[in-house]
Amino acid sequence: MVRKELVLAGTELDSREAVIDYVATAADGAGLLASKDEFVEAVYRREEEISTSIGHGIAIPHGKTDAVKEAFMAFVSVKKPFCWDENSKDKILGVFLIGVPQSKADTLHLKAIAAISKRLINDDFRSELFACRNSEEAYRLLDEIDQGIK
Amino acid sequence: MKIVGVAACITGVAHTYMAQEAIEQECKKRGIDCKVETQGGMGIENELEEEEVNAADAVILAVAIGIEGEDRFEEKEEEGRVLTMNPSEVIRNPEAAVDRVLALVG
Repeated sequence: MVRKELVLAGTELDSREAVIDYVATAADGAGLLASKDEFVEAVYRREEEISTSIGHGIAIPHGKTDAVKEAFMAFVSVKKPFCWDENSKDKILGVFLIGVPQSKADTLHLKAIAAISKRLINDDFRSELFACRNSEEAYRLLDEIDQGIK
Repeated sequence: MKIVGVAACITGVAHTYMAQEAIEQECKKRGIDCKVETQGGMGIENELEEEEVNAADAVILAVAIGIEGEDRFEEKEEEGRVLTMNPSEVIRNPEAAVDRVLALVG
């Protein structure tokens, strides 16, 4: 469920828009999206309801739409913290962008997303995640959780 | 002390489960017995039995949508022992959420 090409640590990305666009392009390239534009639109629609910044330097934007062919959870961390949106003053260091199909309930993927989300509550886990020096390390950390639930 | 709760967010993908974890972790830290039902993309999990609700000192509903079986909490509601919060708030500050629910018990 966690895909190597969708785990990017220490990027230079510096805004919500840049991160979402970057990941959506990568997810589209991996063949996970039927429509990148529709997915991005769904993500912003959700964001408008209530900001997905959860504090502690993390945001979990997500889009639930049939523009998503297969559920995924991407991770991007940035070198310099940036402001997530104008309403919250939260500085963001790591973003988990989630895509799930609207009509197809994909339990295995949902389980993995729930498991990783739960870990984000944990201070130690977040420290470990932010301490990852490169994408490979971050991928291994996230994949461990993914494997653990199977 | 026993607290029960339900977590349910709009998309049922992440916040639901994070809110559950946040409440359970915070209660564990304080040695409070706690069970949180989730109503999300995987349906209802960790479902609360009526007896469990009745035996609880207080209820925390971390919900952003209408939930199944809300009537289970009617009696607690009448006693002023139900706290409803947005899941995002609970995740952001579980300490404050548990403080508020404990304040209901007095």
